Amino acid sequence: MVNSINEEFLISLKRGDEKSFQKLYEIYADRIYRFGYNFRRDEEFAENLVQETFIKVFQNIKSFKRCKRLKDPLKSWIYKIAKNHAFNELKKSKREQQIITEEQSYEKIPFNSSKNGITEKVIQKEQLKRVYDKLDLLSFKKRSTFILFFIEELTADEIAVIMKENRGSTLKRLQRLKEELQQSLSKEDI
Amino acid sequence: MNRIEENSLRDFGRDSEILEKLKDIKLSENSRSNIWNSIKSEIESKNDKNIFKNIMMYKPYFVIAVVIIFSFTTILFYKDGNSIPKNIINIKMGGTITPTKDTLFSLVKSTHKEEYVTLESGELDIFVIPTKKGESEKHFELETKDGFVVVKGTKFKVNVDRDGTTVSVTKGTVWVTPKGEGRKKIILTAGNSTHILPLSTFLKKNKEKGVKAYINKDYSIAKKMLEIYLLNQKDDFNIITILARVAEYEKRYDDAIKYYNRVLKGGSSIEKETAFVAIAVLLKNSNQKKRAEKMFLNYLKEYPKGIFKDDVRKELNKK
Repeated sequence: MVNSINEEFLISLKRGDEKSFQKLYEIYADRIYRFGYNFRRDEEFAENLVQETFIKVFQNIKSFKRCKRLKDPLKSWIYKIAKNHAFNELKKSKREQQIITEEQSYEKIPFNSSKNGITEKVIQKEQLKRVYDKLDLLSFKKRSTFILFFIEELTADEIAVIMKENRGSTLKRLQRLKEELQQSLSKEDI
Repeated sequence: MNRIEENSLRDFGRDSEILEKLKDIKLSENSRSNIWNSIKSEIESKNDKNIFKNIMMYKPYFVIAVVIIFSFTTILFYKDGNSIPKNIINIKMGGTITPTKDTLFSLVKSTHKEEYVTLESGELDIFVIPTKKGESEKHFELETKDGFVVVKGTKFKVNVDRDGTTVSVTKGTVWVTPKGEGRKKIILTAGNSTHILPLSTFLKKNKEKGVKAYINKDYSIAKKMLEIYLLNQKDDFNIITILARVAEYEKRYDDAIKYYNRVLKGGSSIEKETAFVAIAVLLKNSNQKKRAEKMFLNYLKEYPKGIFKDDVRKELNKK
């Protein structure tokens, strides 16, 4: 399997070249933001996650080592940093989380709720909200796995590296997640 | 578990319209560049530290250079008949600036009529002699990361830290202008003080208060807070959508349409879709039925698989 990271690019990153970092940022900023946003539906949390992830990438790039079995080990490494930071942030304080949840409530419902037919029905559907509500009930590990596989489209191999486990465990969790989602939401809903 | 099972799991995700929509979430251009700037400054500060490390390699030479410069400066001051300068700085327009320990500031411009100072951190005690009769007007301006302080002649103190800028006036009058659009100017007289929040904190608080007011249906407060926020964060489409909804509740339909049009120009695909339908509904409610119908039809063309497609079709069938 051909490694998708260009060796020169990696060397320039390790040298601390700003242009290379900017390029890396252009590639991954949206992905990390999406990962963070889908975690908490909180823009500030997601933006902060992007910033902190890239600062950590910059600080630790010299210690980055290729994982030979992955096509793009740098991608998994960046997601791993983001996941660890998200985990630490979520762990910090339950009280803080409650405040943020309260603030988020408007973002969960991005649709117009005027008394007119269409928009009201849209709110009733709450398709997105149901998926998000389901995500809220999942443990950190399951939620990360769900987002990384179904939204970020990482492979089971890549997720296994991020979660520090073997591929079989990742696949088992994914299978259980699929079944849980199928139970709580019918196929049409999601 | 084999590869085929991974593929079947993948198909389960890809078949879902909602999961596909979750993939549309993107950083706004504004946030993208703001975050990059913060990261860049972090990179630059690390590079600066590296430069410092390099300097430390030449430490012995550095120490010798400092000793020479220090001796030379001391000799110069003794030659002029002065002692080694104290902390107090005399300014050309008349008055003094006294920094406390660990204060980082620059005298950017210093003339008999104008003085321009930037204060990055720490505290400055400032005394500016008032303009006398017959003298041309003096202008003293001090800038911090959070705002501007302008005086004609007075005695005051400015302190900057990560929580903001504090200005206390002992004598005269001081004009304080916080940085950012839509923030109020403050006029301080002797004995008064004020604290200016950093723009980012101010905006965060405004956003929080505005959103809470919106949730509590206090629309006038929500409008006031979020409009100021939006002046500074023009691409926050969530807030634009909230302001559109506030305008709707207050029956300012034209304003609501204007806000939704902004969302149409730059929001995420789901925000755009919502704005599209919201405009059509607003047009319908304002008795502009033909325009509303056209908008509904355009929606179906633009978003054949959109989340409102069934409702829009029902709406069109009613006619």
